[in-house]
Amino acid sequence: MVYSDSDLIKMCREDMIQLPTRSRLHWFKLLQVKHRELESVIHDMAHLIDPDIETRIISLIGMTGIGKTTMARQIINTMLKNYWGDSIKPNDIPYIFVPAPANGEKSFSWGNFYTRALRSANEILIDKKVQDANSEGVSKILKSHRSTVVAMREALESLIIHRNVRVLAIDEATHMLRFDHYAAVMDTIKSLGDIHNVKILLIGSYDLFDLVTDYGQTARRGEILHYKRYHENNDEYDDKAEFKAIIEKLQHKWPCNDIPNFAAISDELMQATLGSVGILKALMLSSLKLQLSSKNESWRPEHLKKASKSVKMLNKIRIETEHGEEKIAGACYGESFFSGNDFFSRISQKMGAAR
Amino acid sequence: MSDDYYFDVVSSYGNPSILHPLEPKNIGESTIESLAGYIVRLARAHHISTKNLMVNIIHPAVDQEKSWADSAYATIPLHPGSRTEKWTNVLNQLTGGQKLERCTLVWMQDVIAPQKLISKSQRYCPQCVISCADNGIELFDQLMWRIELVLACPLHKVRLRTATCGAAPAAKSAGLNRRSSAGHCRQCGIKAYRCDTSASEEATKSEVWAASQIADLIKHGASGGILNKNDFIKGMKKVADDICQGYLVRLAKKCGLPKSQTWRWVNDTNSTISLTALLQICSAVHCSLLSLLTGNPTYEPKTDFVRYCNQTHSPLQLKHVEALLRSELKKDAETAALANIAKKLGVTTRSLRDTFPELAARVVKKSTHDRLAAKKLARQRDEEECANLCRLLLEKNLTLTLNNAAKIVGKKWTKNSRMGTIFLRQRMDILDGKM
Repeated sequence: MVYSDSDLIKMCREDMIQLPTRSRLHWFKLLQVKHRELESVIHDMAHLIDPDIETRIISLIGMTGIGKTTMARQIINTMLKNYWGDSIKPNDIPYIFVPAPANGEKSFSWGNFYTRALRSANEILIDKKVQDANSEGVSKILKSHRSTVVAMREALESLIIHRNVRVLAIDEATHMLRFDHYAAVMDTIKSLGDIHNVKILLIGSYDLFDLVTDYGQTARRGEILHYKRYHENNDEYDDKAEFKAIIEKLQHKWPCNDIPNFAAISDELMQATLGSVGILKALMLSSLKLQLSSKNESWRPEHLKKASKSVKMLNKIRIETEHGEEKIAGACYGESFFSGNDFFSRISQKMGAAR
Repeated sequence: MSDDYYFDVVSSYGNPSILHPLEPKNIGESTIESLAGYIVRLARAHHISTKNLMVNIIHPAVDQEKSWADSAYATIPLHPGSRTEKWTNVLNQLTGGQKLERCTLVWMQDVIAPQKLISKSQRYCPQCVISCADNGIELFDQLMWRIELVLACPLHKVRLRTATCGAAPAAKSAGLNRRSSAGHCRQCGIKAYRCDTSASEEATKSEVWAASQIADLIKHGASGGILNKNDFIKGMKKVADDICQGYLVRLAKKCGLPKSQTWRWVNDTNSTISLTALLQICSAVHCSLLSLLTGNPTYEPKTDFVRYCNQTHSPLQLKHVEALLRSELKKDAETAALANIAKKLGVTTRSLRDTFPELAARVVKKSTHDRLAAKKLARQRDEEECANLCRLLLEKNLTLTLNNAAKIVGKKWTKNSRMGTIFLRQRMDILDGKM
């Protein structure tokens, strides 16, 4: 029997153990845990996507595989429901998620992008869009055999207005901005954000940082949200303990009778995953697959060899991530003029005294 | 599942409607938008042509097999009836429940007959559209303008115009597809029909009265009201009691309506009454239309209602028709027959006679005179030609036969043909020595 996602998410671990291997694996894939960094990003995001906040372009940046896309796909709808549930009407589409296309062309294809955006909002007859030209009191419908880029852009603008779209998320936004004329791309994105106060959420790895910070408008009307990984040597928080708690949570839902004690090797797992929850999840999923295909579904520590990333690959990711973190430091949301520890305590004291 | 977990399943907001949840204009007002205009606006909101919206989305949803034709815009049902009910139900579903039945006359289906209720031509009040355009309000098509009996705007007291381009032929090619923009000329694309620069015509008192009565009725439907046959029967009986001592026959006579028909309207719960007959009753007994239909007739000052000819709403503006008739009268060449002029305008001869009785009579007189004169001239020419032919045959010492005539003319006339008859008559005259 094949179970749908909606059936699977209703089941608990005890029910799950009775199910076939494939369903168990899929259930564990769908399962996500809440953790400190995720909660922090959600909290900041909830503040920034408020229509009354001036910020128009939000860039969600983080290391590869940390779970940015999962977060954007899943959480924002829930967030909108929780924060603006009352003001959102049944026929509204408050959130559009568009994966930016990378189709091997030498320039970015806006036609492709608008098509994806319209498709993700279930817009009708995307290939039959017509441009509506009104000038000097004369209305014209410019006919074409297939939808033009202008026609699709107008259709997207109309959709944003009529469906009360609050957030337009563009995943892998680096694909859009890697060409020389990225300022023109950013101009177009910004102008989308000007329609009906829609917030543009750009999602990408650290490459995105260079591109968005070079654009003046982003500096003025944008914010960068850093989805951080967990560090072994974090002065502010006990990241090791938090990472261990995440492992325990995932371990608690392990859909096999033989549960491996991942929590015991939490420090090693933190190193092997560079503190990324996304990579940890991938490692555990791969381990589960190996365990489910082994005899009697018994766990063996050898599974970890194949489940974790190779050392070279991991080093490559580490170098890129460390470089990115260094670059992004001081540019993210919350790292403002008032955020220096000594300075902040002085300010707090002053304000307390004034009161 | 505890709060520590969540699932990576994209959640969506309920089940959004397939089409944009566009609200109809002026819900609850007498100026409510028509369903036809709403569909045009909806297509515009989706940036697709009205044709594509109809053919690909609406027609499959209402199981309509009829293919798209040029007149499809006019075939969006507005009249009271089951087809309109089906369309509004389907469109309500597609747009997420926008109360679109109010944009049609489906709410009066128990009482009012659908025949000849909706005008075939698209009309507008020139002052309403101009004021909307000047105030930056999006133009739309009012349901009231679609009713055949509404000839005037009750607000501006001017005659409605048919949506026909008044621009010069050269300017008309600028428009590409006008079907998709409400309030714009369908031919040249000018906003608020500014291509028609003619002055607004003042409506008669009768026209304004009828339009106001219908406007009140539309407002009732636009606010969610439904006409009920029992209320109408109650209203009719009350009027008969108040005015004619309870006798329906007397009421029918007073209103100039057939007695048997009036009896059926009141006693047969399945019968429906025409809007024209209703206005005749209201005019005769001086009561308001809405109050009669809702069972509580209220009486008002006398207004003479003139029953209109059904063809008054020709697809062309009255001024243009008048100008055409006058130009025919001024023509030096033969005036076209009234039937041909009517055919050219797409109306009936009767409607031209009813609308412009004096002008139409003059056109008929002149065209008859011109036709007779032309006929006389042609006959003279033929006589002359035959006489010349006879002379030529005699000069050549040939007998005056049709065969010999054919040798000279090059074609054979039969003895019953017009030329043959003239030739043979002239031959007889020559033989008798008359020529």
